[in-house]
Parts: sequence; C-alpha cells; structure tokens
Amino acid sequence: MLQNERLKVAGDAVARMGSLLDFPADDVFADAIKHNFVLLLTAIDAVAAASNRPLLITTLLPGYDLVVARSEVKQHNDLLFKDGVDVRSLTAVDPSVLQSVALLLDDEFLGSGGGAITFESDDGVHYVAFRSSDRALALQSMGIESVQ
Amino acid sequence: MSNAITPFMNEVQKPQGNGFMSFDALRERFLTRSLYPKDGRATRVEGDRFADMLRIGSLAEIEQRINALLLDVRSAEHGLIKDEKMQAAVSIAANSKDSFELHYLTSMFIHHREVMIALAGNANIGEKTQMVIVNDETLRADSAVQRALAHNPQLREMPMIKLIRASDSPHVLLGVALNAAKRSKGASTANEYSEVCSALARGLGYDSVVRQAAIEGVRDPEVLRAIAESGSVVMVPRILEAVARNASTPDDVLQEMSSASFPRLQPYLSISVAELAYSTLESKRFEKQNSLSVQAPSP
Repeated sequence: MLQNERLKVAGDAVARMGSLLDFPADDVFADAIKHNFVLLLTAIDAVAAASNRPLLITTLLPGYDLVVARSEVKQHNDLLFKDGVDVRSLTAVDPSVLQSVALLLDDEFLGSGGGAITFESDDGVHYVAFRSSDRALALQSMGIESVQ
Repeated sequence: MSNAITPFMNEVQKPQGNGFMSFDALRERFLTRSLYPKDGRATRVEGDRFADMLRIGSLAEIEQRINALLLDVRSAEHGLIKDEKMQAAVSIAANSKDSFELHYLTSMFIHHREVMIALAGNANIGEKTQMVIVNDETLRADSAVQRALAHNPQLREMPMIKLIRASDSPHVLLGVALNAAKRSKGASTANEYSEVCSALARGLGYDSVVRQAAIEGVRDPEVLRAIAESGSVVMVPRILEAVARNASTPDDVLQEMSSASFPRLQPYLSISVAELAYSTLESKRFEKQNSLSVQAPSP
C-alpha cells in the first residue's frame, strides 16, 4: 500500500470502529489506534515485500487470517518502515486494538456464507482477509498449495 | 495477420470491487490477475509476531523485531536447505544461464525437490531438460515443479503438449496457455504454438480462464467459429469476449456477434461482446484500407 492508502484505510477503520464501539472518531484514543493501525500496515507491507511469494499471516486478528499477494505487473516502491509514520507518537495502546479491528471484520462477515474481504492497493498489492476456519478453502482458491 | 491492433487481454484494470467476495470470485480474480504463486507456495507468519509489535513502546525494539521478521521470511524461502552444498545447487539452478550446466545439474539432482523447482523456473533450460522434467515419474507428481515449468517463459511445444496431457491443474494449464498464446501472437503467421492454443481453447473441460488465455493465441478461423457456435452450457461471457477480440475470427461471426443477433447465444451475449466484435471488425477494415492506400500516389 502507498502511505496515503494506509492512512485512509486506518482512518476508515477507526471511524467504523467508533460507530460500532460507540466512541467519537476524533478523540485521542481513536488517534492512537489509527497510528497503531498505520504502523501495523507498514510492517505487513515491509514483510510482504521481503518475500517473493504470497504471505499468509495466520491469526493476525483473533479468528482471521490475512494473505498479501503482489501482482507481477507493478513493483512495490513504498517500503520504508519509517516512511511517514511517527512511531514516537505511539502511546502504549492495549493489544485490544487488534480485538477491536477483529470486531470490524466480524461485522462484515456477519450472515455471509464463506468468503473473503479483499482490498487492492494502487501499487498492485492485494490483501485478502478471511476467517481462519476457512483457511483451507481460501488457500485453495488462491492457488496456494503449500505453506512454509 | 498483424496482431498489433487487437486489444490486449491484460489491459490494466482499475482497482475496484474492494469488499466482500465469494471464494469462487476470489479464485477467478487470482487466476485472471496472475496473483497465484507460480510454484504454489506461500510463506507463513504467525500473527502474534505483529501483535507483539503493537505492545512495544520502543522504536528501536520495534525495528529490531521487524528486521528479525524480514530475515525469517527470507530464510523460510531458502532455508529448507540445511546443507550448504544444496544451497549452492539451488542457487546455480535458479541463476545459471548455461543450458548444458543446467542439464547436467538436472541429472545430478533430479530427486532434490528444491533444486528441481528452481531449475524448472529457470528460463535458460533447454528443451531436453524440459522434457526430462515433464517425463520423470516423481517430478510429474510434484505440483510445484510442474507449475514452475508451466510458467517458464522458454517453455517449448513438446513439453507443453506433455504438460497438457499429464496435468489437470488449472494453474499448470494456465501457465501453458499464457506461454503458448504469447508465442503464437508474437509470430507473423500461425505456428505450432497456435495449435497448442487451439487444443486448449477447444477443450470444454478446461477452466474458462485457461480457455480465455488460450483463445488469445488461436489463429485458426474455423476453431474460433466452432467455439462461438458451440452454444454449450459451459459458455461463459469471457470466452465470447476473447473470441470477439481475436482478429482471426471470421468476419461473418464477428458481424453476427456485433449485431447481437447470434440466435443460439442470445442469453450469453452482452453489450461488451457486441462492442468488442464491432471494434475488431473496424480494426480489420482499417488495416485493409491502410495497406491499400500505401500504394496510392501522394499529391
């Protein structure tokens, strides 16, 4: 993802979280979560870029896996860990941040059959989130036969 | 017949459709956009390693953890090889440009999986080596090796045919189809790769994404006609679109597609198929006109 996309995804997530969990999206707590989220996305992108293969992150969020796959067409440019992220501004936010994000996904998946949530970034990276219980089916759909 | 005017299948698509999708739709997306791993392998990381990062306040420690993670990912992809000699062999298999060296390596390491996977993907292996990979019983059963071979940019006709016969994996067949189509389109007239494309395009049992890729490289007008007229239940819009794009499709077929009056295919025809057929007809007309006007005397 490009940095502006990370900011947007984080912002959208926090706004939705705010309405689900009933806190205002513009307060300090929300801001800290947003920074955490951007940091998380940056770290994921850095790790995905280190790999020549799709990356499977198991249980990134409670009950959900994430696959990051790059299409061959575009190259990943925006990798720097320190790029635009002010890590120093992080307050020590609870790991419940991930729990909260998981709630977002629960909400999306509610009532659906099997399936996945995908996001395609402008730099050609695809992110696919799915329930861990669907892992076998999801991997098969994506043409992944073995994992190391 | 010039292919320069035919619209390309892989025109860049605008990102859209973020959000929920079924596993079937996911499967299609990964096939059509080449997102699947060629050798079928992915690298796994436990989510805990990311979660931990959020709990740490220190910048230095976070950086350290990320670096450790990067190292682990890289070595997971090379690190199954504990032996230094094996590591060297894999490295040669992946990077050597010498086809004789590679063939020699094949006979020495034929049952070492990691070496063979790297070899199969190396564009410098000769046809003999490719045939060895596709004929060996053990290797034939190894999906990662076959997939890597199928996507080898220098894959030849005989190995292609063998792969088609031996494999029913859509990823292997897609690799073959993409390679054959590229070779067929890149030539000035139909060649043996056009035949391979025809074989895959005609096969009703193949995945529609495979057939679509193959149709791109078909140059036999009668094959294209047969596909358009098959009216079979496995007809999907993308197959028709591929036929509509192909400049080798007979003009009368294109005419009928563009007027959306193809009776047997009524339920499958869409505006985009009609538009594509029309634009292909126009391109052919334009090309004919232009090649005639070159001879016209200039004022």
